[in-house]
Amino acid sequence: MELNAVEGKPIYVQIAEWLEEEILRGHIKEHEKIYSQYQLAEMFNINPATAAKGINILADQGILYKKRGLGMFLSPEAKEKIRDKRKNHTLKKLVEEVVFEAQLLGVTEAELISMIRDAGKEFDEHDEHEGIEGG
Amino acid sequence: MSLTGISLTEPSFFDTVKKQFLYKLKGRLGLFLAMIGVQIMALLFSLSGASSHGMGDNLLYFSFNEFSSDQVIWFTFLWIFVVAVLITTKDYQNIDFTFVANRLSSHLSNVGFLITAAVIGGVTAMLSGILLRIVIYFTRGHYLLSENFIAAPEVVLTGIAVTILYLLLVSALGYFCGVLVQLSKVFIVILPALYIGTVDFLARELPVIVKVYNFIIGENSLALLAVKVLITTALIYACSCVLANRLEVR
Amino acid sequence: MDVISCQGLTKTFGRVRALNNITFTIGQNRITGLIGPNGAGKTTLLKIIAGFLRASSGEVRVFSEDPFNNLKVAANMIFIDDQMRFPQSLTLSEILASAAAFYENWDMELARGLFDYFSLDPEQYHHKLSKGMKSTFNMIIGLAARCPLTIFDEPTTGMDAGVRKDFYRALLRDYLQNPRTIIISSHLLNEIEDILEDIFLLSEGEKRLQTPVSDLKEFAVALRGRREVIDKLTADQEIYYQKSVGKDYSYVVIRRDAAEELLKKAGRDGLEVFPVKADDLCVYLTSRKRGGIDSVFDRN
Repeated sequence: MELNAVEGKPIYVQIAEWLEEEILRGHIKEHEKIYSQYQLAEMFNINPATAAKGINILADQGILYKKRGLGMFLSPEAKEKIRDKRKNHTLKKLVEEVVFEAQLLGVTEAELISMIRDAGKEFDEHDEHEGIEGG
Repeated sequence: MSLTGISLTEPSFFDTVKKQFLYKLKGRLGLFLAMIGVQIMALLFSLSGASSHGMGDNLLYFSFNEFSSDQVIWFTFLWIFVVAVLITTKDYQNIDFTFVANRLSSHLSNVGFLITAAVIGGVTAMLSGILLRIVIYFTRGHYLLSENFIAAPEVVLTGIAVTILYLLLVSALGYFCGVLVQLSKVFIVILPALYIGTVDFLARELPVIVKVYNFIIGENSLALLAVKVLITTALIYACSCVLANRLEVR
Repeated sequence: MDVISCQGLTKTFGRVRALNNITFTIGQNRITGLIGPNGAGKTTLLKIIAGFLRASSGEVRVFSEDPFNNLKVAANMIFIDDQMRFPQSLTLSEILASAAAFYENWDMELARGLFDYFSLDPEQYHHKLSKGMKSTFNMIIGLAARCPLTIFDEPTTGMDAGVRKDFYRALLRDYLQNPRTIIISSHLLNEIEDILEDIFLLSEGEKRLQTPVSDLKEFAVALRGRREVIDKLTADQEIYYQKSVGKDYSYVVIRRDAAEELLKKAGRDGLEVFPVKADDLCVYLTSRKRGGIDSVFDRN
């Protein structure tokens, strides 16, 4: 697996985001053990300390909980927390950027909304093929 | 997967010396091949006759040829001196410190190597003398005059022992010179000058040197010679080790 | 436990000061990248840690002992560089066998496996290998020795890109299975950045920065804006890098926390903020001149 090295985001943030996506897609179940820092290190070819930092971000946010000596497990409210966080932060920021770009280009609100709608349709079709579990 | 890590090992000094000695013996085989080459060359020189005298008149002509293995022994001395200097150089040192070593283990294994070299060199040099006689016997055997054509075993053994002792002494001197040069390149100039000075001038002016020389070289009893040479050799090696113990490597 | 600690380490060669008053510690089982331009003193520092060279002043401790001429340090440490010498009469497989005798934790299976993978010929001689193959062979020795302290000084000299990538992958996987303290020196950060835990920046014999590599990306930011605004804003800031953009604009790299404070006070008006790539930051922190190569062309 390759991480995006060009992007400004630190690797541990990318690890945290990748784990969040795994959780959102339902690849990890409630109370299930998640990847260890060593597994992540091997998968992404990164230092295990960096991987641990990514895991710890999620633990600090209550998405994961720790069992002493056993590792990190997925908390039952994980999905909800991730969704909340992403909606209020990540998505909000992305929308702000989109609006900023649209204003710069003089794209009208109606135009922008129709663009979003089109993009949504494409994703729906894509999801049907891939069988990704909806949110 | 764990984070316990690798535990530290406690190396044994003599074990390390032994490992380095064996590593050097394997890795420096080329130096022994060079020795064989040098000795064969010396043998060929000897075969043409070390010295010859002729006398006679028109009717009768005597010619004497002296054949001896002296040349082989001298060349072996030269070989071990060069080897001793060579293994103090940075190139050989770096090879030591590629793997586990400290200064003392590196020197002691070198000393072990040179002792081995002296023994092998001494034995082969003396045996080549016998080889020389055999070759001469088959090529010009009719004219051999020597009564002790094949020397008695004790004579050969004594010869071997003496040769080994001198080779040890020469190796210690070579090693010492090499170490001095490693300490300072100035010695590349000083040492040859000192050598020539000793022979030419100092020997006349400073009888001490003559005495030292006679003390070691002019000994007739094998046992005493052995004691003297071994002590001197050990002292020179000890000096080399002490002098080189703070040298930086690699 | 600290594996390495240095207090005020200074090394001089004659009149040249190769290392100047360096103080740091390196903890157990971490991978540290020693980064700095050529001639920064990386090799000298590593050779002092390895016990080959003697510190001119200051204190050095490796496994709590003075490493110089120390057999215990030598037995628990391996130093890999492209100057490694082996006896000319030994084949590669004989060298491996010799190495196995010296190192208690030697892993012959790993050595043989890597040998096959990189298609090295066991009957070949070291001095007959190409530069890249030599580096590959040395790397195999370094990994298979499994020393508690493993030092790689510019290990990938002459290797092609694919082999370099394989090497760092092999290093990481072996480290995951057998954690140990590893130092890798390089004049480039980007090819080793991902597998590092810490980074140690050295330039002109001085320590510039020692930090977890994950903090490095957040250590500094770049600001771009009109020159007079930037100049006023950063007047009493430590500037790591500065260049002109066109006639009126200026681009500066400063500490992130300083930048955040400035932006709080001055507002974002007319200023753009960019992240700084880790390897760029290393170059800024270790370069001789603040303005970089442009400063040569931009003086009037």
